[in-house]
Amino acid sequence: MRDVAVVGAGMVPFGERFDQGMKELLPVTLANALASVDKGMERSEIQAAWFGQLQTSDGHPAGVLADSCGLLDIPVTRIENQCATGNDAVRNATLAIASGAIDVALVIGADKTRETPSVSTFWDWMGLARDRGWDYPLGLIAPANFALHVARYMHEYDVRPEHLAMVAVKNHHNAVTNPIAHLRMEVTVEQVLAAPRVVGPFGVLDCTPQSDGAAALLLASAEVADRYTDHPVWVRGVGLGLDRVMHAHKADMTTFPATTKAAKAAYSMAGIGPSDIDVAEVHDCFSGVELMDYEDLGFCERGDAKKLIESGATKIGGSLPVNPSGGLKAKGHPPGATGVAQCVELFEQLRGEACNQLDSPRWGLAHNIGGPTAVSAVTILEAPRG
Amino acid sequence: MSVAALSLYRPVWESRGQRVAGPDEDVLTLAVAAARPLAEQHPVARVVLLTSAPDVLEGFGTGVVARALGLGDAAPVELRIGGADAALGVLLEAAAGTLVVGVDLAPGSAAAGAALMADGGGILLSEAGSVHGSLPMRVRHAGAQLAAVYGDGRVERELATAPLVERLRGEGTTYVVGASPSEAKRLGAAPLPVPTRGPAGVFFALAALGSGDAAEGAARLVALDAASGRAADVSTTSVEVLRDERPGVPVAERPSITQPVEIPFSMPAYARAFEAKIGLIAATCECGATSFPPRQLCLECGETERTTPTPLARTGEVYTYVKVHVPIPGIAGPYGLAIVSVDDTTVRVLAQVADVGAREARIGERGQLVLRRVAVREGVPDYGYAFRSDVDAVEERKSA
Repeated sequence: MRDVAVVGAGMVPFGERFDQGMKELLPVTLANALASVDKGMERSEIQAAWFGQLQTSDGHPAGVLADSCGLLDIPVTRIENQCATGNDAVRNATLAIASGAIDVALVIGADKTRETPSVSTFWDWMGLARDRGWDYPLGLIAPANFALHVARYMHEYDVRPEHLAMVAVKNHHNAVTNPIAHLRMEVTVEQVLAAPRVVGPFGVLDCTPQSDGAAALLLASAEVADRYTDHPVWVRGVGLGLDRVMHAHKADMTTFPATTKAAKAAYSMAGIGPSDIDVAEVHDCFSGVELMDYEDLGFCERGDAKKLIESGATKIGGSLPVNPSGGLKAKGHPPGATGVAQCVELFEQLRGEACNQLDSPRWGLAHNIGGPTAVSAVTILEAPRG
Repeated sequence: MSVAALSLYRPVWESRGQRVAGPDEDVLTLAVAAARPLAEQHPVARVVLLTSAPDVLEGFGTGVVARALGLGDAAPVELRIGGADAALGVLLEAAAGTLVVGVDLAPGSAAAGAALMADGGGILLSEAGSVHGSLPMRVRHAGAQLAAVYGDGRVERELATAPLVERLRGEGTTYVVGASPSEAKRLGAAPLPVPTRGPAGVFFALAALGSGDAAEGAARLVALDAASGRAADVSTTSVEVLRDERPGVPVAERPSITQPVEIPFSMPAYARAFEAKIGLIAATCECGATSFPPRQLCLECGETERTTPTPLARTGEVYTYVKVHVPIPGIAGPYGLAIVSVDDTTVRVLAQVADVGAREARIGERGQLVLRRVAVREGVPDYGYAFRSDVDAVEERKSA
């Protein structure tokens, strides 16, 4: 397979974008990505596009992308894989270029979670991810979906609410200096613990906001990458993992097997291991999920995530900064865009251009876990050579 | 005819000394709550369910009742309408093997009672007369929430109940159901601890008479519904009485729907899930692995379609639990979700937690899976199992 490079990346600020529909967000995001290409790229040079979108706001996703962005003469494929949609879109485009079928691809992810009234949001989302006869009527809303895991995880490993709060505090802090983040405010452990309760161990400040937003990457084969930049970021590993969809069928809820499978595939493809990772953007839709991610991604042993967060290792300046962008928790979470936006952050970090720049990281990892905790996607990127 | 065993259920929610059904309870779930303990222990040939005001008429789930009681799809289940007098009539006329269930859902008197009928032994019942008068003190039209009430208790007593009790009174001690305890006292009846004046009251009365509270020897039980009444002579024999009556929790703590919303419904999805969901039936593969909800592909051996239906125990232990605090339109909240490890299997069940306002569940705690109306979707009641902890909320607060 051929090497694949990221030669451009762009996004729009995450937040409540009531002023812009899908048809407005997409062309702006594409323009931002094209503008980031060091040596320039024309829209007409894109040979195929993969569009990650979970909900179908404004109608037929592939058609809306092609039409609104002036990409009517190339194939456009919509990817939907729950909250792993973004990194799965990256995976599909990467494989297409690696195969030799095309040289230049657009990966774009977008969602508008604020297009429907908040009273119907929970049922809308449950309809996307639950069995209509069994789990749907029980009210297994997204936070409960994850909280059932985290409650058992906390029980088995004696993890305290304070450990969850530390994740929120860290990621909120990182978002303050990120101009595209949805929630740019500091919070304290006390505030997180005292916030109104949502589900189980999660209060409002443990939860991702509902964001609108879009993010895009421009990928190119190694053969043509130097037409666009002398500092390409390399896609070294992509992985997708799946698990049982019903919680009743999951044997051990203190781990996400989908993540371990996706990570194994991506590490194996990249030829590296967890200890090589210098920066990670992981799925922290709810604070406690980031702790479970540390273990499933191999950043520490099972049950040791609380020590990792206590040590400060995952802060900016620590030995393995996690979610320097603010993560889903504070940067925001428009599901189709989330994974792509993680890679936008890593692209900037690995090129030394990030708003919260780390000290010359080489390996970056992006991770999503989604749906009924049944799908995960992991992407591993490497910094430009030299 | 005789009553071999009795079972009584009252919801946990209490208002002014009376019980009120939970948001996930209805005539059907109350009936199952009372009847299930008897159906678990005795063979049942048919079920007669009597209530004065069914909450569902067309489309009432007799098939749900049969599955929830473990009787399969062929057992006759009959829904009848009537008051306390009609309930006593059903008990007098039912054949051996019949499970008779009386349900009251009226606000302030939610209760259910069930009796397993036999040909002898237990409490003997014999016909002692009936009166059919007409004094429409309360009239409720079909579909109407409010009844027309002729508010004059003395008129009711002088023109209807007193003459009726006089005619149906026995030589020994006479007990009255179908009237409030104070009214029964005015009518000269002996006191009985009966929480409701509807059809369920008859079962509570029989339980009291069969538990040694009553005077020795035969008793006369008069069951009233306004100007109509039915009487039976009842032996005060001791009989098995199963009681599920937890101490009351103030109704203010009961979860409620704060915002109504139409929850989408798929009839084919309902139909596919029905047998397993309402019967609580897992699939056991030839390799021995059991799955619930049932799966085509075995979790262990990977083979497909080698399974046989296996009823699950209705007891288990909480593997994980969360309380949902945020209000969700269409669901009474706050509510709880638990994943319960079912006894005697490797199976886990995702279930709402029953009566969460009274008490939450905890990881590691034991309890039962009880039938509840988990949702009403596009007008259709959707039933399933909820976890109810063995720990009683009020007892726990006392000992804390």
